[in-house]
Parts: sequence; structure tokens; C-alpha cells
Amino acid sequence: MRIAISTGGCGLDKFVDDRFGRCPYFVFCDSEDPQSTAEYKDNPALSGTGGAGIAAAEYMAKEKVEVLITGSLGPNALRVINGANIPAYTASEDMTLSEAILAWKEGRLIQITEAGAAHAGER
Amino acid sequence: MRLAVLSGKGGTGKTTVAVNLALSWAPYRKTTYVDYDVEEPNGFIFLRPQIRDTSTVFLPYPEINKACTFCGKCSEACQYHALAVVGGKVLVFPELCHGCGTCGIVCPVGAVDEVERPLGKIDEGERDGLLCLQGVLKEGESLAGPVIRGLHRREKEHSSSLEEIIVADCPPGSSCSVIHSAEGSDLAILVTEPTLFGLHDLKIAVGLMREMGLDFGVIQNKDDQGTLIQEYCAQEGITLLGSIPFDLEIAKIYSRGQSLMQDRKWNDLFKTLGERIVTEVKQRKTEGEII
Ligand code: SF4
Ligand code: SF4
Repeated sequence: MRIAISTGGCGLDKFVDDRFGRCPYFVFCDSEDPQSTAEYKDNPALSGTGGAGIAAAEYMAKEKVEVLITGSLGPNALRVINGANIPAYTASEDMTLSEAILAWKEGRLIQITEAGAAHAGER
Repeated sequence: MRLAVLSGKGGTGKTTVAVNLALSWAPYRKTTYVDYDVEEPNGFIFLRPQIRDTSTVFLPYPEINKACTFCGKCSEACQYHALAVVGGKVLVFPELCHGCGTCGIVCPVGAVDEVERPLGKIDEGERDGLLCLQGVLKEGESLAGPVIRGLHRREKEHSSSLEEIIVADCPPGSSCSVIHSAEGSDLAILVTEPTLFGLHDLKIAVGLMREMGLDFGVIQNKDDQGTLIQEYCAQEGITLLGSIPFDLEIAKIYSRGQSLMQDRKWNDLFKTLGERIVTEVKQRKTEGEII
């Protein structure tokens, strides 16, 4: 499965960033072999005026992501993620990327079904 | 003449000054009060004008029709991220849309229709011969620009000669909204308080006025007989148009929701201040013409 995680740094030992629209990077990898498939890309939603969550969510669809791990999703981002049929899971910021992937695999992450606060990721 | 009343931030008594100046001119000159603080208009609370006209300000946003091929060009072109093309759908977020029309231009198959949503309204009323206008942004909306522009157009319908006065009560701060409401004024009146915070905000406002190339003067509210603002104005060569003394009565009259003009003392004060401002503008005009 192609996973995407919002992150503050480039490396599987770096931590999850709980701001979806405003995180600096996304990691994309195959859940079966994160180590050798991990790719780090700049969050393209950072440029632009408002609506970062929407742009980041659309980016997930463009990148053909099958599973998203992040902190929480605002109402607009959730609408796009749902529209794209991408299941999203919530992880906390004290998890590293490898820990988050492992936790998802073991079914320990909770699926995001409700929107968090709007603009929460813009602090 | 058009006068813009500004303050660094809220709470300096900007609306008190704007409303009472307008009321002081109204018996002698054709005067219009315009509340440009569309996110939090409160001039009408004090003026209590009789509303005689309300019009809605609309903003266009896209609706996608069946011709859409989900190519994604519209969402790529929208700098406000008000569109997302995912899963064989185009999702539209009207509250983020600025109505720029770009999506319709870039769509190769003409799948973008234009619809409208109400963004706010403009009220027009009258109180004792004073024409009152206000713009009100709808709750939950953050796009003040179109309401301010609509208000500007409405204001221009009541065009002013030098003898007629338009008082533009501008939003606090130094955002684009402030610039759009203040531009085109003959004089900007910066209302400040004699505190360090007040001075700090005043300096920002002065910087903005100089950047805009707008003539301006200062009114000191809650004057405590200190010299803080006076010294700054003298140093910078800024005209101090007048001072409003710190007086608890203001708070009392205010809390009764009345305007200060009903009180003799304040009536005189604002009348003098008003005449001083009119003289100042005319003087600057003639000086400008001579040069
Ligand atoms: S540009 Fe036109 S055709 Fe392409 S996705 Fe947008 S609305 Fe549809
Ligand atoms: S009108 Fe402009 S702001 Fe609105 S959706 Fe189209 S491109 Fe975006």
C-alpha cells in the first residue's frame, strides 16, 4: 500500500507532524518496505493563499496515496480526502515515521472520520 | 471633502471621533458618515439612523457543469485553493473563492458556470439630516474587499464637493482593508491615545499614511495632559488637530448608548474640532495649489 505521512523531517526516524496542510514535508512509501521506498517531498500546499488543507489533500490524490497518516484534518481537507476515497489515520507527534507505519500495520491507529478544528494547522 | 478616520488598532475611540465629528457637521454642511469597518461595524449603534435601504453584496463562485472532464486545470490555476479535483468530482469551496474568474478562463471545455453567493450587505440610513452608510460582512466570511468596494461605489454616488463632507470610519489596523477605505481621502485623521501602546500604533499608522502619500493629522483621545503624543508630533512635523480630554463622562454617556453631541460641553468641543479640520483641509488645498 502506498502510504503518505505528514512529517517535519526527512528520515524514518523523524517525527510525525500533526499539521496536515502546513507540514513542511510528506513522506511517501510502500508499507511493505518503507526503508527502501521512502521518498520525501516538499508540501506544495505551503505556497498559496489559504486553503492549504485542500491543496495538500488534492496532492495526496495526485500522488495516488492509498493510506494517509497525519495528526488531524480540518473540515475542508477531510471533504477532499473523503472525495478521493483515501482512508486517513491519526498519529501523534511523538511517533517517528517508522513507529507510525508499524502502528498502522498493527491496526493501532484510529481512522479519522470527524474534522478537527479549521485552520488548526496554520499556527 | 473626504476625511478618513483611522486608528492603529481597535479601542482608541476612533468610532467616537468619527461619529461625533459627522454629527457636529451635519447641521451646517451636507455630511455623510460611512462605516468601512465591515467586520465589526459599530457606528450605527451610536447613530441609530433610520434605515431606508439595504442591498446585498454578491460574489461570484464557480459551479461545475456536466461538460467537465476532470482535467484539473481549474484547481491548478486557483491560487486560493477553492477547488479540488479528486475521485471523478470537482469539489468547490465557495467560502475560499475570491470570485476572480480564473477557473472559468482556464477551463478548456466551458464546464465552469458562474453562480453567486451573498457576502454581505450595505445599509443606508439617515439621522437628523446626516446620511449614514455601513457595510456589513456576513458572519463566517473573511473577504472584506468586495463589501468595501461596494461601499466605496455607493459612497461615490453621493459625490462630494469641497463643501460637502464624507467621513470614512476605517477599520482598525493596517491591512489592505484600511488602505482601500482610506485611499482617495483629502485628509486622514489618526486617532490615538497617550500611552506607549498608542504611540507604537500611531507610528505604524503614520508609516502607512506616508507610504500611501495621504495627507494626515492626529487627534489625541483621552488626553491626560501628558506630552508623549505632542512631543512625537512636534518631532515628526505632524499636525496635532486636537485633543479630547480624558473624562469619565464620556464613558457614562457612551454606556447609555447616546452620542456625545447631546451633551453641551462635548457638542462645543466637537464643533470646534470639526471647524479646525475643515480649515486645515482647505488650507492645505490652497497651499498645494500655490506650490
Ligand atoms: S478545468 Fe474544466 S474540465 Fe477541467 S476539471 Fe476544471 S471544470 Fe473540469
Ligand atoms: S473564481 Fe478564482 S478564486 Fe474562485 S474558484 Fe475560480 S479561480 Fe478560484
